[in-house]
Amino acid sequence: MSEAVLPRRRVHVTDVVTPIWLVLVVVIVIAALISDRFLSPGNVAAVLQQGVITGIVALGMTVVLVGGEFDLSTGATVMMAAVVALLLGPDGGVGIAVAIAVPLLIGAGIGAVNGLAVYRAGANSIVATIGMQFLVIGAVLALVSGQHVRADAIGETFTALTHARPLGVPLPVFVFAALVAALAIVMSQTVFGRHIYAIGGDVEAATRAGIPVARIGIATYVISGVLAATSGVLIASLVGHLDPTAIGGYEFPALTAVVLGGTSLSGGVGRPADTAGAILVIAVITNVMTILNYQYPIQLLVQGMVLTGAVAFYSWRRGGA
Amino acid sequence: MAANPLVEMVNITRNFGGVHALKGVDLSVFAGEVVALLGHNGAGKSVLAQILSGVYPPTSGEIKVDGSPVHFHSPNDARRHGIETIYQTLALADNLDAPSNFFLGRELRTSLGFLDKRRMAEEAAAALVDLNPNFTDIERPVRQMSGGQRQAIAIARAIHFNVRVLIMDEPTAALGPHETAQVAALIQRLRDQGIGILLISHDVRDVMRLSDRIVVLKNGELVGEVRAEESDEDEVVEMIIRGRKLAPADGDGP
Repeated sequence: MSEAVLPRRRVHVTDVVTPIWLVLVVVIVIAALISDRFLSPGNVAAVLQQGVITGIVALGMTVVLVGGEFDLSTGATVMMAAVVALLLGPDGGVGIAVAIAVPLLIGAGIGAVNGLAVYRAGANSIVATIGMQFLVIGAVLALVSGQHVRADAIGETFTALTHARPLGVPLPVFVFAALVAALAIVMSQTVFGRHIYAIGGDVEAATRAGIPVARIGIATYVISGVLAATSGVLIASLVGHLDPTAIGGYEFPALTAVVLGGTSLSGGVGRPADTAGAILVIAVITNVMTILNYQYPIQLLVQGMVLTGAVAFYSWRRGGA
Repeated sequence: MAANPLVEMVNITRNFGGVHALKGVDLSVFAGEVVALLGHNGAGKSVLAQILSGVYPPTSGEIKVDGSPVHFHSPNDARRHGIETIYQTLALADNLDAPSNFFLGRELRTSLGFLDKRRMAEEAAAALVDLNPNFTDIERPVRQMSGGQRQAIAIARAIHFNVRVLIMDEPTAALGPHETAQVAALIQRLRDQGIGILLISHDVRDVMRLSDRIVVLKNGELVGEVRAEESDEDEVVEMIIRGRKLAPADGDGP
């Protein structure tokens, strides 16, 4: 065996600075030019805060999509977790740890069922997770009989969880940053992460390499379920009361960020950090539109353009694949 | 051959729903022997090979390694017994680079349990250069690589981990003459090292040249087997087409 040292490829700039981070710089510069309020500390904190809830959902969907599948049940899981946390925490009188843990466990369970349906039974993941969405929404509405969940007696500890601002930055932003860092390490530095990319790249190759495809696929859905539930718990703590019929619809803004961050809809390509970058881009754009007093229809229009444009751009860049 | 076969498949059947893909087939591979498995599409040769690879279990029948019965529940089980496979499709994850594919399913870890990317890159680079001295820039998605480079990755990972029996599924089907010659040389080299090779092919001329023993399947049944040196293309083609049964070439049969 020769000991020849190849001219190995070192880490390239393009490995770290993906297009989305350049886009982020551009939109920040434009935003700062448009409004001198944009870079004020208060507004920056608001921008960060704005993206976090959707961002955590998007991180989980990134993991599932790198494995080659969709999770559209996340919006319903967010709602479930928020309602359950509010029912348990302030009103149920259980400890705050239980009020957080139970929704997360239910989120994990939802993910496990999604994963079993997709990876064991072979169900189409779009349809299976939309079905799960209906199921969860139905169960939650039945649970609260369609009533507004009000947490008048919401504990201060529970609220303080998300209203704390160490260094002037809302605590949920730190939660998000920690999750991004953790998932970035899991996806790029662990065998588990490597196997998710392999499954999303070529299921047959992964199977023949002896990778336990179903087990790993189910785990990606569990991660997504737990992260969506985390978002729900944060919402519960931030808002303190909920109209279950009014919350939801997080899955498509999250999917927009996932796609904008460069995750391939056909699997095998994508990074949690790039999803985070996309979340920031969307938060900046939304923030500027709010500063400029653009109404919701315009914001929706822009979001649609971003999603469709991103899909078209990445498809073109990957050679139409 | 006096010694025990490296692997022995006894009375293997495999049903897919109502389809009997294999109807009781025996096959053995000895050390330092190239056995060719021939037959039309649908004759059962790929199914037989995939059962030996651990992709799926036989419906009935027994697999023995060094004379002891084994049960393969996944390709990992087969690989643990030194049975490696080079698939016709190569079974590479196109989105991953060469070291990732090389170590797919048996990644090296650091002491902290993380991927040891540096060691994997170095080992893969050494193994690939050994096969193909011009193989550089291995850390890019294999989708961007040439057919020859992709083939080199599939071959290199199959022979790197203490291989004892190598299954090659149509190894030259997608290759040009130069690369085909390289594969032929590789088969000779591995045979000389005492590795047993199961060669699945439909190219009779290739098979006559490369193999020691030829086993022909038709409709999931063993048509017969001949020693390559005692046979010729016409006889083998006739076996494939007509399914003419021959007596086993020597006392290997059941």
